[in-house]
Amino acid sequence: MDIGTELYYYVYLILWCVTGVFIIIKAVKSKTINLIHFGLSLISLGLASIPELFGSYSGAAIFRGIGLILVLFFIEKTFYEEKKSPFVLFVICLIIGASFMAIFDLWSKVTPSKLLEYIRDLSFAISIMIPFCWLTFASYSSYKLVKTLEIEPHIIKRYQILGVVAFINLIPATFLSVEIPLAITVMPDFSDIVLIGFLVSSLLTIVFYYILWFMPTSVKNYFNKDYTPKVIEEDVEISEEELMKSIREDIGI
Amino acid sequence: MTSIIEVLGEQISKALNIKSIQAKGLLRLAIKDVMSDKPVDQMSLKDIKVVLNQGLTERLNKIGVSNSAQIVKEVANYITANQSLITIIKI
Repeated sequence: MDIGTELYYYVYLILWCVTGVFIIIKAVKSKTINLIHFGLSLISLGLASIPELFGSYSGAAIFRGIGLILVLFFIEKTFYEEKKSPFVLFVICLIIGASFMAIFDLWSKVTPSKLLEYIRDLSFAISIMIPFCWLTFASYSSYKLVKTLEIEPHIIKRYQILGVVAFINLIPATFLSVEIPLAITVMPDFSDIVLIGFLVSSLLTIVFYYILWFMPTSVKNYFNKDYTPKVIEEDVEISEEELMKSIREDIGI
Repeated sequence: MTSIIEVLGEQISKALNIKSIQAKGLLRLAIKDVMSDKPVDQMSLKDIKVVLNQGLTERLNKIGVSNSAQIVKEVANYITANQSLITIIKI
């Protein structure tokens, strides 16, 4: 393993695990249980770098599989609770994908073959695409619903950021799915491009995650700069009976 | 600051054709009825559904709203469709 790849794995491990821990702390403080799944997924995906550093993609497949399934849990709990969703189907697909990653990695070590390595990489690419395509779709669908609401724009922006960051995660998956065919045919150095693609998308993902989950007040104010809250009626204290009576009068009962 | 009470209150206000402040007050009473002291920002989708189906239904019946079931159903469908707001508003 060259120094660039090794460095990438270390950066990935630290960034993703630290961000995951911060998100879990935030989730516990705000009692947002579904966000704990997301934080754990980052830690699991980050930990996949450790077996990879030792050349064990099959070991990494376990952490990746768990991490990506946790992303599915986050999407299900955040966007699709009590709604029909392809959650179970996607979990099954990811278990199969992670198993393929592990099996074809071990197989390619026993019988070295570019085809076996390609199937391993393709399984990984598809496994990344499943949760992040779904997250892109879920964010965009929800964004379309909430953008018309009279709520602070920074809330609406978070949907856009979540959609963008999910889409960014599809870029390395796409690179990975064409790496071996391109490397053995027209672009022998394509692996270097893939590494750069992975590094850039990881860094962008982390930056967007911090903006999304830990949005500083200055950024909130920036997004809200053109927002004028609806004039709120004077908040007068009235008794329960008075409130019920005023509603009855207003609806003509 | 936007809260889930604002969002749901707006929907109840439209459905009942009452002032937003009245709708939010009604919702707060419904929350108090079934969730006692549980803070609003700690409520899950399930909690909100309980508030709507039990607390709000009862309050609307007390007022004498004839189509209370229809109104509660509309608001419950609305929050199910926009459930991600519960997470996004909290953080």
